[in-house]
Amino acid sequence: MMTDYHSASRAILLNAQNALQRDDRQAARGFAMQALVLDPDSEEPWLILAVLASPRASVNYLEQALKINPDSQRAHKGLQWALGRIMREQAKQSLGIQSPPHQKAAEDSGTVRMLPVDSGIPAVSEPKSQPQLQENPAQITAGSGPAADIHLARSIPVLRWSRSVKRFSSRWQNWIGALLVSLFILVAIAAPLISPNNPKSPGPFMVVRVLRLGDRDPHPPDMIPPLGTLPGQFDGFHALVWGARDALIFGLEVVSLTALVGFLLGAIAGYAGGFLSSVLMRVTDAFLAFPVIAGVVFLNQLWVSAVVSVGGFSMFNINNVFQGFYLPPGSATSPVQALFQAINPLVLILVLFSWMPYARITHSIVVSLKQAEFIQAARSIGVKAPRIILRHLLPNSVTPSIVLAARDIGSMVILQATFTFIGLDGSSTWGRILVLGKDWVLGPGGGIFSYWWVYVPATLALVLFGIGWNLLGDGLSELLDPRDN
Amino acid sequence: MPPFLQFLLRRFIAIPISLLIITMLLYAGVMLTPPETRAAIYLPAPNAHQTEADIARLTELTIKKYHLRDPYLLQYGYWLKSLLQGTWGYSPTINENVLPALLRRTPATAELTLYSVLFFIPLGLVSGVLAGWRQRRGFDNTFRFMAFVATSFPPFILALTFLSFFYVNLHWFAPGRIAQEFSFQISDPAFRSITGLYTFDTLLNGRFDIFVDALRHLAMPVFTLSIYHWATLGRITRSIIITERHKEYLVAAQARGLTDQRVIWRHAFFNTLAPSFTSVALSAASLVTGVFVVEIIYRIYGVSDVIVRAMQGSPDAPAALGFCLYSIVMVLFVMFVLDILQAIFDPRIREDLFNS
Repeated sequence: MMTDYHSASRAILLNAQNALQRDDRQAARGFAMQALVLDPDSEEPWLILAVLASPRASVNYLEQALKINPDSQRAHKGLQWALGRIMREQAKQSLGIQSPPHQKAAEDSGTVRMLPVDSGIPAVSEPKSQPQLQENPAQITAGSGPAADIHLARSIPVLRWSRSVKRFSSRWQNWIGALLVSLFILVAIAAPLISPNNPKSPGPFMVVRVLRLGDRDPHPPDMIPPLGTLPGQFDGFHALVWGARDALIFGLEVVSLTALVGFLLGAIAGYAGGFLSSVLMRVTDAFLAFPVIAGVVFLNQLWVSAVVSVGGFSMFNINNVFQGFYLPPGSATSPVQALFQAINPLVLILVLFSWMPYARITHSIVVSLKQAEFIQAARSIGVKAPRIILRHLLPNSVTPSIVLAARDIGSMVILQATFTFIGLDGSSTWGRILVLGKDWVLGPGGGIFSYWWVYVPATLALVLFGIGWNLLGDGLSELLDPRDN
Repeated sequence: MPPFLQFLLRRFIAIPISLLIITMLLYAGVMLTPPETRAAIYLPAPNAHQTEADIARLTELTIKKYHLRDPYLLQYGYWLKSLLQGTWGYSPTINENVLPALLRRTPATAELTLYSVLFFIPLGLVSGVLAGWRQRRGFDNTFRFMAFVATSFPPFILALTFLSFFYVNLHWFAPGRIAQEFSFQISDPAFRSITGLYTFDTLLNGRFDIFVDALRHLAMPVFTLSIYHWATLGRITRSIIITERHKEYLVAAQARGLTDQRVIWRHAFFNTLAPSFTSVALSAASLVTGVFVVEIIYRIYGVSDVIVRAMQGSPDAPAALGFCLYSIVMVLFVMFVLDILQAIFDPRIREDLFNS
C-alpha cells in the first residue's frame, strides 16, 4: 500500500515538473500539493512549492523540506537566496520604495531560475513575466501544512484561458482556421449589408434585371453582378453571400443538436451504467452500420407518404432540384408532418445518423470519471447526484464533444451540399449554385475555365468552409488534449 | 470445431443481431404513417383492369393479412417474415419487384466498391506506415499535405472537376460503365455473363478491348471514391505507427541489426493492421454512402439507380425500404469481410485462431 502511494506521488511530481517547465505555475502547484497529500515524507513537493511561492512563503516550505532531509543541498541554497531577497526587500521598504506589481512578478519567477528543481530535469527555460497568472502570496503564507493548502487545488479551472490562447495562437494552422471561420461568420452576419436583398425576388437566388428577358445563359462578371450571373439570370455573388448564412445556420443547427443528443445519451448511459449502458452501445453499433444516404431516402419517403396522404405534393424546379413540399392549407395533422414542418428533414436525418461518436466518447469519459478520485471524494462527503453531474462530470466531459462538433460543422455542410447535388435534397444554397452550373461545366462547349464563375466561387466557398472548421477543430483538440504537450 | 470456424461463426452471428435492431428501428419509423400507407409495402403489381374500388379492397385485405392495425411487435414480425421470404414489395416507380431489381443492379455497385477498396486500403496502409516511420521528414510532409488536400475536397466536387477535365476536355476517361458500342456486344447472348462484373467477364470471355474500356470507365469513380478514404486510413495508420515505433519489440528488432525494411514490413506493419482495419470498418457506412453518391454522379446504373428513380416525389415505400435494407446489409458485409481479413493478417488474432 505504501509503495502504491509512493509511485503515485512520483508520477504526480513528474506532472508538476512538466507543468513547471511549461511555465504553468498554477497546475504545478496543484500537482505538488497532490503529491504532498499522497506522500508527506518527501522533500521534493516542498521544493516545488517553494519555487512557486514568493520569497517570504518559500521560507516556510524550505523549512519543511529541511525537516525531512536536513542536509539537502538544494533546500539550503534556496533558503539562503530567499532570506537574501527578504532582507533586500525590507531594506527597500524602509527606504519607502514600493516595487510595482509587474516587477514583483518578474522577481517571483526569478526563483524558478534560482532553484534547480530536479537533477533529472533540464533547467527551466527563461521565464516570461505573466502578471495575470500570479498567485496570492497571502494564501500560501497562511498555511504551512498540506491540509491548509488543499483548497487551492480546487480553484484550478478546467481550461486556463490566457495560456490556451497563447498555445492556440502558436500554430499558423490554427490562425488560418480561425481566420476562415470568422470570415464566414462575418459574411453570414453581414449578408444584408454586403448584398442587400431585393424585396421583389427574396431568397438567396436573386434575379438580375439587367439582361434580356428569357436570356438564361450565364454571363461573366460585370460591375452590377460582381460574380457574374448563374444560368437563369441569378446573381452569383448574392447567392454566394447568402449561401454562407444558410450554411452556417444549417451547420450550427445540425451540430448543436447532434452534440446535445449524443452527449446526453452518452452521459446518462455512462452514469447509470449496467443494462442501460450496454443497450446504448448496441444501438450505437447498429447506427454505425446505417449509411446516411439510406436515412435520407427513408425519411424522405416517410415524409412524401405523409404529405401525399393528405393531398399535398413535392415541388421540383426546372433543374429537377427538389424544392420542398406543397401542403394543402390546414392539413398538418400527423406527427410526421408536424415534426418535419418544424425542422428541415435533412437536419433531422443528419442528427439521427451522426450522434454516435459523441455518445461513445462521452460514455467512455463518464465511465472513467466515475472512478476518479475527486468524484469519489465528492460522493463520500455526501454530495448529491445532480450536483456531481452538473459541477463535476459535465465540465470534465464536455470538451471532446466540443472538438468533435467544431470539426463536424464543415463536414455536415458539405454533406448537405452533396445531397443537394445528387438531387436528394434542396436545402443547400451553395449546392444549388453547383447544380445550376453543372451543365455549363460539363455540357458541350462548357468547361471549368470558360465558365469559371458558375463553378469556382461555390466550390471555393464549400472547400474553405470545410477546411476552416477542420483546422479550428484540430487546433481545439490539440489544446484540450493533455498528451500533446 | 476448429477455432477459425468458431470465430467466423461468432462474427457472422453479430450481423443478424445488428440487422434485427436496425429493422426494428426502421419499422418504428414506418409506424408513423397511417395503415393505408403502410399497406403499400406489400401491394403487388397493379394491372390495368383494376378500378379504384378494387385497389381499396386490396389495400383493406392487405391490412388484414399483415395485421397492420395491430400492435407494433406483431406488425414487425409479419414484415420480417415477408422480408425473409423474399417478398420485398413492388415498386410502382420502377415497375418491378424490389428485390430482383436490387439484385440485378448489384454487379455494377460491387465492381465499384471492390476496386475502390482494393485501391485505397493497400495504398493507405503503405503510405501511412512510411510517413509515420520517418516522422516530419520529406515523405511525411508530402503525405500530410496530400491527405489534407484529399480530405478537403468533397467527393462530388472532385467528380465534377474530374469529369470536366478528363472527360469533357481530354477524353481520357468517361462516365458510365461501358462505351455504347460495347454495351451491345456485352448484352449479346454470345457473350457469357458469369459474374456480372464487366472487368471479370470480359477477361473470362477473352475480350481484352472491352476490358480496357471497362477500366477506362472505372478509373474516375474509383479514384474519386478512394481518395478521401485513402487519406483517413493513411492518417490513422501513420498515428498508429508513430506510437508503435518506440515499442520495445521494434527497438529490440533494430538492436538485433535487422534492416529498416525488414523491421517495418515484417514486424511493425502487421501490428498496425488491426486498428487500421477497425477504423475502416467504422467508416464502412460512409464508404457505402460515397459509393452511391459517386454512382449517381458518374451515371453508373448500380443500386442507386433505384432510389434516383424512386425519389422523384411520388411515394414509393417498397423501393425506399428495400434500398435501406440493401445498403445496411452491404455495410455489414463490408465490416464482416474486414473482420475476417483482420483475423487472417493480424498475428495476434491469427496465432490464437490457427495454432490453438
